[in-house]
Amino acid sequence: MYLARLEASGFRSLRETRIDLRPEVTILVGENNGGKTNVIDAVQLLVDPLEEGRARRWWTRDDVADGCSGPVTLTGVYRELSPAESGTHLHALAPDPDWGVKRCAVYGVSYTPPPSNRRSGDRGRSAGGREGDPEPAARRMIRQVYLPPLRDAQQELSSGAGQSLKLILSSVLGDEKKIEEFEESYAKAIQAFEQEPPVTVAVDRINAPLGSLTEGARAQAMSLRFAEPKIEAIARALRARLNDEGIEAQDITRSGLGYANLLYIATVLTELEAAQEADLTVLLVEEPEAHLHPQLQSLLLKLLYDRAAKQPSGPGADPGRPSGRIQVLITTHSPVLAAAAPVADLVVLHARDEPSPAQQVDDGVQRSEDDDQDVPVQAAPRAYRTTAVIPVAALNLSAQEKAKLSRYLDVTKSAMLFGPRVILVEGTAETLLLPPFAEIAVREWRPAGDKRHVARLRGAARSTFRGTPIVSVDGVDFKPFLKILLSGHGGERIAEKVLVITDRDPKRRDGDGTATRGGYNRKDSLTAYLRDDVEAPDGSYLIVEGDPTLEPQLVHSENLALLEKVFAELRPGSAHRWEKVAQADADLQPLVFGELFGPYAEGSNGVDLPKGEYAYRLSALLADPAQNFVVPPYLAEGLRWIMAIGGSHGV
Amino acid sequence: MAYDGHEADGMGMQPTGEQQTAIAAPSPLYLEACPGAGKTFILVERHLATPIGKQRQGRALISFTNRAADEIRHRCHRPELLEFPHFTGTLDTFLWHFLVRPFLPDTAPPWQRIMSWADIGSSDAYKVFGRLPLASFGFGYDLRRGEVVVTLPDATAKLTNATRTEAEFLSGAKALRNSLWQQHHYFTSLELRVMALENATDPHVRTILRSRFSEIVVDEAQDCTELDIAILGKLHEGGVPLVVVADPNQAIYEYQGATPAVMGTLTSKIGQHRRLTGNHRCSQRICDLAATMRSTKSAIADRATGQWSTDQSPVLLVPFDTNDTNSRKTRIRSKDEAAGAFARRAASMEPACADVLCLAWAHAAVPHLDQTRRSKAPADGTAWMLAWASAVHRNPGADHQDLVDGVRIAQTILVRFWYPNDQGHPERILTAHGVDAITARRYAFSLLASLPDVDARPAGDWIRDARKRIIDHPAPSDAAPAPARNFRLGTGSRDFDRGETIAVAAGLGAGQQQPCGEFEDISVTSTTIHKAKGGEADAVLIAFATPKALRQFLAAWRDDSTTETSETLRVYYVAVTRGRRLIGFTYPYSCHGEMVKHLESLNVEFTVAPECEPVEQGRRQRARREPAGMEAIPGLG
Repeated sequence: MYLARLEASGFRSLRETRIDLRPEVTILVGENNGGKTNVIDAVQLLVDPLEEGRARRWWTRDDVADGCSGPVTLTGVYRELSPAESGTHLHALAPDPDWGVKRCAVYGVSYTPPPSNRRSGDRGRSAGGREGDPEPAARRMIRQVYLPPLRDAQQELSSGAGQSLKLILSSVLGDEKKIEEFEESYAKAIQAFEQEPPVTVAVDRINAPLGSLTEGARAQAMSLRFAEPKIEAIARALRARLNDEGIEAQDITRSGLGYANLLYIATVLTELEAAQEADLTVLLVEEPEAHLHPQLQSLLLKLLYDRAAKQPSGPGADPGRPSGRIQVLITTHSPVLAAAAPVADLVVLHARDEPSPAQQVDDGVQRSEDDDQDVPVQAAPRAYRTTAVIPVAALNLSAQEKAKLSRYLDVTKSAMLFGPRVILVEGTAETLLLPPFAEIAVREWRPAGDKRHVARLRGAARSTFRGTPIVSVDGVDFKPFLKILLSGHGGERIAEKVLVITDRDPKRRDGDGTATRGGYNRKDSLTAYLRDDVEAPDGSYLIVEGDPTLEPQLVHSENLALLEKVFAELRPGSAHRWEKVAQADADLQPLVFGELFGPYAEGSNGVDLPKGEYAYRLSALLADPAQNFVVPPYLAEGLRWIMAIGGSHGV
Repeated sequence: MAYDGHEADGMGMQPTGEQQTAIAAPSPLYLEACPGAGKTFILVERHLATPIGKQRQGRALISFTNRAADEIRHRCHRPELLEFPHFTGTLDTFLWHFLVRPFLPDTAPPWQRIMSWADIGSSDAYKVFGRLPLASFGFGYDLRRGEVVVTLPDATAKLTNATRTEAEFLSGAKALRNSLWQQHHYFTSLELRVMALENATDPHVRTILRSRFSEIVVDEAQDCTELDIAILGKLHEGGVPLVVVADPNQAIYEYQGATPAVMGTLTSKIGQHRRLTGNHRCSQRICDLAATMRSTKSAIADRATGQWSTDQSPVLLVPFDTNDTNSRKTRIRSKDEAAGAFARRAASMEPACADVLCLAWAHAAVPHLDQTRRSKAPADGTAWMLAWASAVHRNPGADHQDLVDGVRIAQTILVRFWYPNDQGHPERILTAHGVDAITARRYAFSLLASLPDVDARPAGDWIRDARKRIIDHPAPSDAAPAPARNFRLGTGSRDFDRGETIAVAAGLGAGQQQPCGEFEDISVTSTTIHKAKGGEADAVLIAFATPKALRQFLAAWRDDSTTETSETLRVYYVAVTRGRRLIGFTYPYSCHGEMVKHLESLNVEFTVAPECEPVEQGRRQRARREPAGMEAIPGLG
């Protein structure tokens, strides 16, 4: 069995939220404040911790979402129960909400906050959708272990390791008899030490004054013994030490935080394996990237995947024993982890502000977009922070698309999963030139208002651009990216705005090299794809197209001097080639300039000018705010749209 | 079927004058409520009037069924009112928690609640003189003599060739039961009540109850047995404030000793009476029809005050004729087809009915539209019980209680196989071997999953395979089964042909038919009248499978002077008052004339379903060509 779905109602930012989880590993990715921790908290409240003494989440008044009066309810739907598990969770069985042909187990908890004159709220439980819990012991066959972020692994390992080590040692030893034998042999070994002279001499020295102090009353004497040879004490006495290969092992307290953390997670995993007491243990790992460098993050993820895939019980297993499955739930804002996992295991969470119902009533009609911006802004409408959930597995990606995206989404590209806006470009040149172009677009924007107001608006536009990842798809395969970003799940999308910057494909030549066919119109093709296949809403995307590519579009009478300067730096010996550009008719100039990037060839103006290098040098020069440059209109249009800066200015 | 649906809709519904009086009336109180009076609404409103904040004293809301208790919980929108110190639940649970359990001596073995004496098995130790299992005796309680009464139904047959007399057997049964109760601490609901009655007379216990509960509300009190009423009477005498809610016209458990007269012994002692006569559910026509069925004929009809009060739909008669000859009188050939015709009429009304209830007194007589019917677990024969359990387990839409029962059946069979020498209740045996209830269910459920499908394979084959699976099933380490050759799955008293399919033998019907899509917009529920209690629907069809059943009903309707006929009439009174707009009757065509005559004598307006008009010659021939399989869907055993 596994926790297949978490439903929350009125819980913090999870106001009416349903999250589908994966059988083995689910990775919750998303921006800060997106609601990741709330999901982890919900599971902690829904599922009992593995053992007493572990830090435990309790309900608080703050758990009630703003504007809700309660009760808060959290429901877990568990699927794929084995027959034996169905027996244990008999009272929680219910027809599956999605597939009536199957049964699932449903457990819920609820919390009603106390009225102002009382101090404690009311907690309730339900099983199988029926109120009350006839058998709490069955519910405890599902457990959770929570690994908090930035934990002090050194502290936990040196103080709390006794308990974990005891479990691991006991499981290695096997039964009670073996444990007794082990304790006996330990006792024998240390008894010898108790007879060593330093110990006996110390005893005599202490006993001398003790004897003279107590002989007048009831005479007392002392002896020295090592701790009771019980397995708990042995485990406590053992010290975890970490060693780098070839270097002397050192005490855990002197080892780096990152490695201490890995050791801690390894201990927890071993402990889970050793103590197979539950049908399902949900391992909640919050932000494992803390303290770990990228390679270690990927390795940790692999370890968690391996452990979750290793499901013990097969068909021949004893139905009387718990199944001991492990399911892992990770939250992260590390693109490293997002990139390392299969894309279908990602669940993207992002924050959304929802106007409060009361506010909607107050406001009455919606204001039209054309309203003059100078009208004094009313007090900002009170909004509720809610969490939108987009499980990638629910986006109807084909197997091929999933495979492609798992390969495409490297560390840089995974950044697109974290924010509401994304710019997709074909290659490096756009990636390099967009930041200075955006700066120019902002500078040339002339919003109404006094100087300070304008400065503030421009600052906001710059932040908007900086918070928008530019993702180079390294080619023209935009479709899988658009699908994951814009296809919806329950009305929610990973991205709110996607800007696609592409080129009209150069005209293709037929076999004999003479006849040409009309260029393939990528913009139309992508627009049709977004509208018909992805069903992305209008306004969520904009596709702009360089005709035929970026470089010719840079040509403008005001830009020529700068373009020549960069050319001269790269091809100092080819001034005659630039002459051809300079002499060309204005309408042919872009084409001739574009040819410079072509290969050296007979009858062509190509000098194999490197696009990336050219763009890099151009962007470096544009860093000077005094430098004037006319941004190609299609890029200016796209940039203004993504930054939401209106108004027109001469381009 | 909705549960008092209209009220559920109206969370913010305003109580009427009489309802307001009932909500505010202080206890002790006797509240006589007509059908559709908004009883649950009043009880919940009364409870919601509890002041905000922690209370030391609570209110107990006692219902007759778990379902009615759930309905109260569902409607009560202040969750703290459903928790300590308040109580909502059935009378059995209340008695156990507040009148019995706290006062039990703390001695081993722990007290074990059982449904019937059959639960503890039938090994020789639990037989009277090694011959008759305790479950073959009937036990009751004589209030006047204050002692348990034993009977032996069908005594002559059971005691053929016995060396002892019936009287000896009866006293033997009494002694055995006493020892199981007093020494082994098993108890059924009868022992529970006897203990509760004794404690209810104890001033100390009464003081505790008065302190704990500000009010004890008993709903559907007309269904309380004499013993229940006696317990409540003792509580009332002891000053525990009671609110007794009842409708004497709806008393349908007379065969268990629940009569309006018995209830009267309690309510006559309660000073304050309130009567609710506004019916928010039924149309005035249905109220008028119901009034002709009251035991006190002089009583005037209830006032229809609800949404459908002015609905003018007349009673619909849908007689059926099972005859498949040229002489067949109607095109409706079975009660199930009648249900279809009735549902079609309900769906074509303006506005269309949202739900239909198909009711009958006996389980077997209930008409069904499709195969969604519930089957009952076979009463004997471990093989049939196991097959039933296995089929229930394979049906994800199965009733949850059926599933629980099915797992218990599998568990019992495993326990008897694993520990053949242990005696007593299966759960107690498992506990003695260190197997907790949760682990025991793991074994039971995985056994059900491993059994062959309950389908058209011959019953003999299925039993052979199932037996092998039980023998091979993983067992706890200390299980000590007897040699496998000694283990068999019983087939009970049923004669069966080894070639008969397991599905039929286990009482699951011949095969599964898909429900047709015709009635997608209308919810059709089929159940017995006793189970429909408290429910309601826009249209209600009442079925009589045999001429005898209808004639008994008509006889009772004409004259309800004897105990038997008055109970019959009350049962159908309950059925009729479930309906909001349309009432229908279906019965064998041979009694059509009598039915029509009776309704005419009462001036009740009715129509006959168009499908039941006499069949023309041509039509009859066409009808005959229909496949024979359509004839009748076999009833469930």
